[in-house]
Amino acid sequence: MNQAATVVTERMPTVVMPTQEKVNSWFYITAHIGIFIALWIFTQGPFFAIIVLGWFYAWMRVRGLKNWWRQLKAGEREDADIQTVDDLLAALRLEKLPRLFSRSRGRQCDPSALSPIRRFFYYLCMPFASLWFNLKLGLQAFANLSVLLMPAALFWTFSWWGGWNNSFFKGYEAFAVGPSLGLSGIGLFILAMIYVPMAQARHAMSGEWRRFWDIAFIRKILAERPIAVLLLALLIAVMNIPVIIMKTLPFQFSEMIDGYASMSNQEVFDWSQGYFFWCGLYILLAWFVIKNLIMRIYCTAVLRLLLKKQISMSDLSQVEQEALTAMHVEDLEKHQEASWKKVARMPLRAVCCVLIIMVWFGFAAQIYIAQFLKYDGDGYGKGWVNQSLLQVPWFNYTPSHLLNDDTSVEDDFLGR
Amino acid sequence: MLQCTAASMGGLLLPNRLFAEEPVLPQYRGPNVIIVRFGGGVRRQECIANPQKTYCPYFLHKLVPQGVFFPRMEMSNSSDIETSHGQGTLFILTGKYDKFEDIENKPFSGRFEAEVPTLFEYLRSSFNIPVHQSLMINHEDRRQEEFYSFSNHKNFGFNYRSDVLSLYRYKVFLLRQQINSGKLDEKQLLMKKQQLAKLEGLDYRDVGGLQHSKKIDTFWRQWQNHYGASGFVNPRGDRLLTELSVWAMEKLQPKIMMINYNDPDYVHWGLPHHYTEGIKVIDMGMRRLHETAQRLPAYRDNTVFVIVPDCGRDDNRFMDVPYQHHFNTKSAREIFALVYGKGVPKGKVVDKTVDQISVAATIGGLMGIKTPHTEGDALEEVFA
Repeated sequence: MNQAATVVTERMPTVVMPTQEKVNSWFYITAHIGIFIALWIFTQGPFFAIIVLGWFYAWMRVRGLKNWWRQLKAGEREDADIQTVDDLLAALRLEKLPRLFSRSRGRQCDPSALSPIRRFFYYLCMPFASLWFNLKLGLQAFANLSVLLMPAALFWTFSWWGGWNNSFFKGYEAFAVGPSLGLSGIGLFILAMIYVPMAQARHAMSGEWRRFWDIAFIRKILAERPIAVLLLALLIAVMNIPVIIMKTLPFQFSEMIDGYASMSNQEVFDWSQGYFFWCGLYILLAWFVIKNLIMRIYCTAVLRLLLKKQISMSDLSQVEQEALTAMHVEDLEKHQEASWKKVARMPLRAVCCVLIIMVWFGFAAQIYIAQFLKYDGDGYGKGWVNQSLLQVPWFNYTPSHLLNDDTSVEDDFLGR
Repeated sequence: MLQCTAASMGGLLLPNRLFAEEPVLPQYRGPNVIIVRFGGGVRRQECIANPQKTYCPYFLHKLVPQGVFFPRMEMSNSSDIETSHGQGTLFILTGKYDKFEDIENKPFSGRFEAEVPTLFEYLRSSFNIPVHQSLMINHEDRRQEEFYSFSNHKNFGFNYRSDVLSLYRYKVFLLRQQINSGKLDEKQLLMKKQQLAKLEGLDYRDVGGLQHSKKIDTFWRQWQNHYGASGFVNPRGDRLLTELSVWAMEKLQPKIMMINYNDPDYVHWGLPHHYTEGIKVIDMGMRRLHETAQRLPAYRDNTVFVIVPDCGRDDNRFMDVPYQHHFNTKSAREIFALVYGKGVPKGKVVDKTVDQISVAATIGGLMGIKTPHTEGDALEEVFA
């Protein structure tokens, strides 16, 4: 134990911010507000929303560590080498509030130890290093999510397009293609969403994209907390209802907005951009709620599985091992599972599994309803390929045709 | 006693005219009227607003110059009036705005019943026109519109209905044929009878269970001989309506025929080309109808065409597909109309706002029939 603590303290950076430095509270508040506003603005574009995704993964890791700190009551130990959660984070080269732009303290080093060229690039990249880090993390997260969710999205896109084309042109010999693709897509989506939330937690906590694919580990997490996973799914589905409303509400705008008929395309564009900007606030807040809950479920499950010896420390990532060791996880009191839970474990999991499937089916139904009320296609099935609460927190459905003039269609024809 | 009771009950249920001594109705000598419902929901922007960018060039460039054109026809802007296909069709046929509700209160069903007579009933109660010469050509996806052929008015109703040509009616014909063929085993027979009962019972007012006249039966037999019974050979969608209409003109020679085009409405599902393609299909259909009317002696120089949308579509630039729906917006109420043919002045454009419910009274005037329950004024510019 002491050896572990020594290992942790030895890894503390030799320069940078001392762990006990008092941060100016106004600066701290300002930093929070600044990052929040930046994240909010970033939800308006797909590229920047990926950066938000990466930032959230860093934030989720911090939330997870704090969760463990609280559950393990690590701060109450008088003999602990690390007395506060801030100390722990610093020891792990993390910050309480992950940075969005500038290089984080944990990634800073003594520039005098670098060669002149490297020092030049070190200072050059200082204001944007975290932006790059968040983008990298976001791309990794996006890639993992896409492997699981994009097939379903593509199935939906083609089933809708092909199915309705078939219906319009009455090619009924092939009538089954549309519906079967659609149902297959829904099936794939449901299977993926049973797995994705806890896999995201694993990736975020470990910082390693490969850990997203620890299928056996994720299965154990899901089996350990089926009710919590069900409630999480329900929460996401319920929180998605306002998203669907916000996405489709523009179908009423032509009647709701005074003077709409005399608005130019540019004015409509600006109005729409403003509308989706404010909607992005809800998306962002929902992400904080959902990702926080995901980490709570994951962290509690990991502790329970460790106690039951269904997993060992070697199954965890290095960061997790170091953190739990520093928090003296071996001292955690054995979790006394109620006897009824032991007996009801299998039927409970079965019931939760069925209910989770139903909840995600309901979520898929929301997507279909939204696409019927206000189809967002833009040539690639925009409304199908990204769900703002699940994948990338990008929420802007301003039609691109507002920026086209009338000659563009003819130019397309002449150019073909 | 029993007979008196039955007669009284019948008197309560059936139109009064059935019990009065049937007057001898005169033969109809007026022009044939073909009503083209330019549906399901089209906008002026894609049809008439820009002659260089219209999706119905035959209509705009060839037909409009031949008659009286109303580019500013509108549906009522009352909040009770819904801009949709069933409602628009009944506004055209009855000449009266009404707040229609599905008879079973099902959402999106559109199973409406008119309380005032339709043009078919006005015509058939005024002239001796057999049912097979008063036709509605109905879209395969709009089964609820099979019931617009007559109203619930106590002085009109079922006996003055139009007949309907549609895939739905063809299926009824085929099922009857299969059942009567004697070639089915017991299980198949039962299944077919159940299918047929379901189709025949779709309109509770039709106590005869969709009985066809002999002429219609012959029509379907000829259709079957030509296209078979699979449904995969004959044209489909609005092209089917055109084909049925041309066949009807050749074999049944209806005096009044309404064609309920509907393909543009597929854009509800979000694919823009369904809308523009649908308009083009209707345009080509109108060309074929016009050329058929020119070719057939019964119709040449003796036909009036009335072309009018059932409703418009939205114009919402906040959506990827601005015209995806027609949800009672201002644009959804903006339509147009063209009347051309025998006795109608040519090359006239009436640049004032007129009402969709004026169509019924106008047709009444053209055919020489009284339409006492219409509320719209006839379009006087149509009468030379």
